[in-house]
Amino acid sequence: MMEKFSKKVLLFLLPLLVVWIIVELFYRTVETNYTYKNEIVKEYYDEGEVLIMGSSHSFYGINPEYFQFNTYNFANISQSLYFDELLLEKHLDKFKELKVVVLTIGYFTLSQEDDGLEDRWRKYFYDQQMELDVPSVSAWDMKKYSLALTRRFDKSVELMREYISEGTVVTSYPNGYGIQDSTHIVEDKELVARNIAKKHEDGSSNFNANRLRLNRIIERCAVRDIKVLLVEMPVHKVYYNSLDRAKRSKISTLLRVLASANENTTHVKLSRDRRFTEEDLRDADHLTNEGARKCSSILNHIIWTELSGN
Amino acid sequence: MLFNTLDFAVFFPLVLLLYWTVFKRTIKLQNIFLVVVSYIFYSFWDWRFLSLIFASSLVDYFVGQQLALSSKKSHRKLLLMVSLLFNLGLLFTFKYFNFFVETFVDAYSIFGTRFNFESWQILLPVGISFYTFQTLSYTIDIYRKQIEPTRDPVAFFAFVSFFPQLVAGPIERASNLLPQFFVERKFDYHKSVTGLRLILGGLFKKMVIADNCALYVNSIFENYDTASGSTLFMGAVFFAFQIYGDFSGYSDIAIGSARIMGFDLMKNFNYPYLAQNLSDFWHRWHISLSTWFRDYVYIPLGGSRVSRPRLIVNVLIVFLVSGLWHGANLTFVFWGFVHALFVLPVILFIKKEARFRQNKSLPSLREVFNITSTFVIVVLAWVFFRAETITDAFAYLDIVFSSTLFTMPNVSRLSVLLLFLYMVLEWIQRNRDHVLDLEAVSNKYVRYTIYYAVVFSIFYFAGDLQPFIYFQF
Repeated sequence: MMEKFSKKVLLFLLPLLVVWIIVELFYRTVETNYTYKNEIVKEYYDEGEVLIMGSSHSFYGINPEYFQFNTYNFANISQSLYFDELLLEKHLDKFKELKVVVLTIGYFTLSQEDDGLEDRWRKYFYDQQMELDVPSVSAWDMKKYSLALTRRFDKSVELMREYISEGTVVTSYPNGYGIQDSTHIVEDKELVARNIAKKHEDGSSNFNANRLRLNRIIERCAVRDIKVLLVEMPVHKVYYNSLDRAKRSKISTLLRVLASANENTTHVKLSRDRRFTEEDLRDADHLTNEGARKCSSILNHIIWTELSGN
Repeated sequence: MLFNTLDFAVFFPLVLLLYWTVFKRTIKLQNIFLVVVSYIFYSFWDWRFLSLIFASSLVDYFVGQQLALSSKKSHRKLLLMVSLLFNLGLLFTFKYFNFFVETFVDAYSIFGTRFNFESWQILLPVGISFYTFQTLSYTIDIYRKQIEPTRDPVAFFAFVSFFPQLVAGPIERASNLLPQFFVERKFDYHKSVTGLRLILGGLFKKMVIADNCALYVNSIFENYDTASGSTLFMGAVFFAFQIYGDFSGYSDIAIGSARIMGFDLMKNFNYPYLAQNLSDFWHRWHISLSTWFRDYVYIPLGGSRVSRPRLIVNVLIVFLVSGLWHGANLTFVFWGFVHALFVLPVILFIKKEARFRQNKSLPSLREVFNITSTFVIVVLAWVFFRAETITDAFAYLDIVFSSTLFTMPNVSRLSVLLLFLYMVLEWIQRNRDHVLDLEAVSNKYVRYTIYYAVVFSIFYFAGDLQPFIYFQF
């Protein structure tokens, strides 16, 4: 009886096994932003001067094209400081000419947990496709060995469809900047801004772990005489005003303190910079291509000033 | 370890394999194995709290032994008090300490004095409300001489920690579950198939219904101050399905898993949203808890064989305590109070048990009215259950009962339609054990098509992984 039951169950599961193998093969063979960036970054080892880290704010907000320095955008969607540090640990010393590391700090960056629930699947991609030794991925974790199991099935199917129709799932230019167009611009920015502000409110003002992490990154860069730019990116007015003022000010204060305590660090606050208009934002906290051009030019100028000592 | 995770998908087949092969030689061996795997299962959350389960089992095992030896009433009472104090003490310390002190501080501040009190950071051990109630029922039943204590500590420890129902029930009675640890368990093909169906149906309820509803619920409840009354009402409806899918899904998986291992757990849900009045609802919702309160609180208070005022007090006590059982927050107490308000008229004036007309495929108009009105009351009461504070709950309901209730709600119509279709399915299956009970479908191709459709829905339409709501209780 037990044998009959086991056979039937296994037979029933057979089609699911086939589907799992297909999805796994897809992830293991198709180039993604992770494998793509992991390969391209190596091309910058010899001449790269500016390295941009961070989440979607920098991925879609800082375009290396507008820098007079050899620049690579190593940011990625939902890339937390946790992964910024792991990536820098792995790559920083391989850059021979690196002069500046740009880190964007959003409202949630400093309070973000190392192994938070949201977008948890990404850590397996950093582990497997960017060849990072991610401490939060345990050797006992089955997802470490199967990327098909890391994401919701419908998301994998969506990605496979995109691959079939577009021929690629990579959404980044060779310089690392994120591909975006007018379809990304939301209509009712104010409504979105209010909702996103609520979504970004994690209720925590505990910056200890990420403050230490920033310190470690700054120290590591100082050893190589690399400057660090801590940038608060432009955001929508409604988004800015909907955030908790005390936490907002605590973030800026911390970044200011870090900048004054470390010679190689500069704090750039562009959150409500008047040079940016509503048209420069595609939603609550992401820039359009035009906004990215402006932001990149501003940062380029700051870097030029910093490096020339003016 | 959550039932809807990869960990469990590997853990459970492994346990089954070992349970039905290596350890099937003797019952004793199987029971030892069950204790070990149950403790491993629990340790996935926090191994430190295993000590509480162990201590609770140990205390009640010895209390049970002593109760059997003693015939002196005062001594027996003292032993029962030990069990009650220990288990309720655990519950109080880990679950209610902050709540009671904060309430006391708030209450005292009315007199102009405010004590300085900083809430203690006490972690709530998962499942504490469930296993303490289960083990309490054992000592109370022995005290009442309704059951004999077991001399087998392994069987008793397995009874308290049995992993399918350890963290969220059903809250089993010793009279039902404990004897099953002494009977030789043989693999039963038919039972195992029904067990798998229960697991599949449970996963569907949890991952497709509950987790998708959770997205709407979170968004609506977080932004309730900007939504219309109709949207908020639908938000509460979505929460009704979220908590139902979440909890009954968990129970189905628990019952199904136990069934494959040769155990019969009690039914915990019986199509509660088809209830025809609030009393009927409580015969169908979280049955293991409502019968626990009936047997260990309501009946000892005198039950319904008392004067009317006393009956009202008894019902109020049961529902207020039941509310408090769910969590250390006034919102739960108020939720219990609202239910009591609507259960009382049924108990006082109707008395007759609600039943559906037999052999009718469609409900009568009266049944439709009863089901709908009961559902609306339950939905509105859920607002108190879901809201962060009482103030939020009233503010939410204030908007629900405004003129914007009669506007078009800003929710997915497809989701509403799918939920309605699910209710139709429940109506069709109302006399069956569970919603995926396919005993009546004789054609195996049809059965397998249904299974694959459910599996596909789980994979393709599952919402983002949400923790089981009842784990926090």
